[in-house]
Amino acid sequence: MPVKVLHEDLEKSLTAEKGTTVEEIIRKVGVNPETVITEKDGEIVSNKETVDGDECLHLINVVSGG
Amino acid sequence: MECWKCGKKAVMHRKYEGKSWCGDHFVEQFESLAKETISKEGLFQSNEKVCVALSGGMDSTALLLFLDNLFENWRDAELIALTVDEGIEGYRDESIEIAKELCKDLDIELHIASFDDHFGKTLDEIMEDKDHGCTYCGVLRRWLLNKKSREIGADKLATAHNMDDELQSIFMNYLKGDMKRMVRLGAKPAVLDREKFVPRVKPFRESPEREIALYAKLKGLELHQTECPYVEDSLRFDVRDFLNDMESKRPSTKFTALRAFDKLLPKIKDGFSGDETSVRECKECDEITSGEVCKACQLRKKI
Repeated sequence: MPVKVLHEDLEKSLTAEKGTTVEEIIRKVGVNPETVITEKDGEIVSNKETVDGDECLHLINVVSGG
Repeated sequence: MECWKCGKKAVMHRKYEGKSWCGDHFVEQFESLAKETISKEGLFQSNEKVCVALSGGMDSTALLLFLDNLFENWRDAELIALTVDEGIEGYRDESIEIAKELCKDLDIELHIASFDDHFGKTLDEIMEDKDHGCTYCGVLRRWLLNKKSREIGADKLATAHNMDDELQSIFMNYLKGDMKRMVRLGAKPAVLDREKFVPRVKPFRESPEREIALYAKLKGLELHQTECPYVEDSLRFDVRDFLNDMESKRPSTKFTALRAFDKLLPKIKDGFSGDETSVRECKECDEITSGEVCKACQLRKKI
């Protein structure tokens, strides 16, 4: 099942099992879940939300960069 | 995942408490925690003029919005904002626009103090032949925030320091063995000299950075995402990453660490706060310092 992940200027496509949580996907792309909040198709979701396929997750950095 | 209070769709799951929250209940709980901090620590008194240090970043815009809402119900409290323009092209100019727009929307008086006006150079110009931008920026910005907020008559300077900032400072001071600085931390740091020093308060001190971002987003604030070009590899960043790794592996680490520090602070304060009578006026700028010449004046000579 394809899932698209946008983080900073990067776009990553990966496959995930149906029912995979947002947190598992965040970890899969090498990001610490403590450092981002996530939008799924434009809506803020909790890390426990699951994906059903053909969705786009946007990871928004929350750590201060200066 | 559903909100534990109302069953609506959740926007946040807090592992450290095992609960999920919808947007409305998250906002309510977030504000209630900040109000509790204000009340518990006695951060504001009536008739005060409170100046928010507003960078235009997510933490400070969220703080201004929160305090504006809170002060609506407080008689005689006045809220103003102060932005320091360090002069960082492509970074600070963007966030200043956000600050201006927000103050205009909320009808809050905004003061802008620039490095260029006060030190004769922008940070970009200072850094043309130097390294360690954060050192220059941090010292000069703090100096300017205190001086300017005092000049505009502020009784308190509210900063948007969050739980992550506070913990990073605690760990950094511990790792550097700087106990004097460590005991100055807390929601309401020690007041050194009311004449010269505008007391600083941190209403968001008990809120994790990630939750402030969510609050800002849910409140419709614009998140300034550009990274400062002078960000460098530093002890603060190492500590930040360590704490985030620990929180990710062992939820509630940050809370436990902050609670432990808060229990420890009153016990160690007397032993390490030093002789406050040694605080004096800098012989060059008249601002307070613990030495003959303050750090800002020492750096000014190098620019």
